Amino acid sequence: VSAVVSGRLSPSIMIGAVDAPDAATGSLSLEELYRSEARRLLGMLCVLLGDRSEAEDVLQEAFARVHRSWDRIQDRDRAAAYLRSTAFNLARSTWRRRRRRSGTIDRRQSDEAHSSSVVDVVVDGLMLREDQRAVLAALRTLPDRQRACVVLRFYGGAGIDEIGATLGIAPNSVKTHLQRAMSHLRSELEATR
Amino acid sequence: VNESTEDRLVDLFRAVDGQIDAGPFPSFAPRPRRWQIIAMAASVLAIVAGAWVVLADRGDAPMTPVSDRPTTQADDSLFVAAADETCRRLDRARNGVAPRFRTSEAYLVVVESRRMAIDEAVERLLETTPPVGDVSLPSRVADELREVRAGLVQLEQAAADARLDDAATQWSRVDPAIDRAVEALAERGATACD
Repeated sequence: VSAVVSGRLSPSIMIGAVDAPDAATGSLSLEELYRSEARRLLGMLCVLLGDRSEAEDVLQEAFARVHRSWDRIQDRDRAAAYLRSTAFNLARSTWRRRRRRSGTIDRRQSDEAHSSSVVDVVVDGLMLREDQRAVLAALRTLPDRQRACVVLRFYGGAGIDEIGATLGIAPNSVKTHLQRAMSHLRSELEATR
Repeated sequence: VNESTEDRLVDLFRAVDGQIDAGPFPSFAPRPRRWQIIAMAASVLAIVAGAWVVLADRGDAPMTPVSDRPTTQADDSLFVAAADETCRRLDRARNGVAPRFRTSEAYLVVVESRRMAIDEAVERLLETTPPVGDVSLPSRVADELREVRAGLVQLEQAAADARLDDAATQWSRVDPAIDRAVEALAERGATACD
């Protein structure tokens, strides 16, 4: 856990850093940003939201917002970070709407109740082994922010500061979220082993 | 096989990543939301009905050129309603939550509350039809609110480090910054933002 939260995580255990647009500053087009970011971002949103069509909606809306602000983004190298931040904020709004719809006050209860159906939806169309499905189900039992930290860290390959910037929280909070999440996942996965 | 939790996460994410395809580059023209379509249809109906009443009342009075003012009013009233709602949401959070004790935890709680209120306000603001003649107003206000939100990170850090004097100083700046951010909405007629 300490390696995970201290930023010393070996790159080999991550999928890889989010592909930074390699275009020179100012020359990056929205299409290039889409090509470099969309696939991985969609994957992260699928895992976060547990619903492919909701994930696609969020991705579309995030790009639409970046598109609207395109002229105001001075530093195009930061466009990918802005896009990711927008997408994660939208995902958070989706969780909130979902929670309001379900009328459930207890977040943990809501997530757990949602988890079994979510696994089926995500698995639909994806070939996942049983042990991978167990990890996905365990992820769904995490509070939203912890789940977002884990996805950004292990799927997006983001560092502590980058996660903090994406979610708009302090680096120390990111470390705390990651520590709690990993500890929870560990015991959850041990229990189902 | 005794895989670590980290390895199992990466294994899952690799499997998902390998099967995801975002498709070709699409058009990113924002899709209208259902309530926007309904509101637009209602505005059009109101304008048509209004024009009909005017024409019927005037009988054989000479026709005057139809200005585009009704459309402007309709669009602005939608925007003003959304702006009012935005400010009311912010006010609810501001009236209900303030640090009751001078502790790190109290500051962390109010930071989270303000952050959520700002997120909701920005979301509502960006969903609405922009006012006629100043289409960038919602995004400008949203950007200012996001700056306030970004400032909360320093406050959170100060609270987490138990620098309570710093936290108090930064906290005193939060609500005035929100007021400044929504000033432009008040100027556009949103009375709840005054």
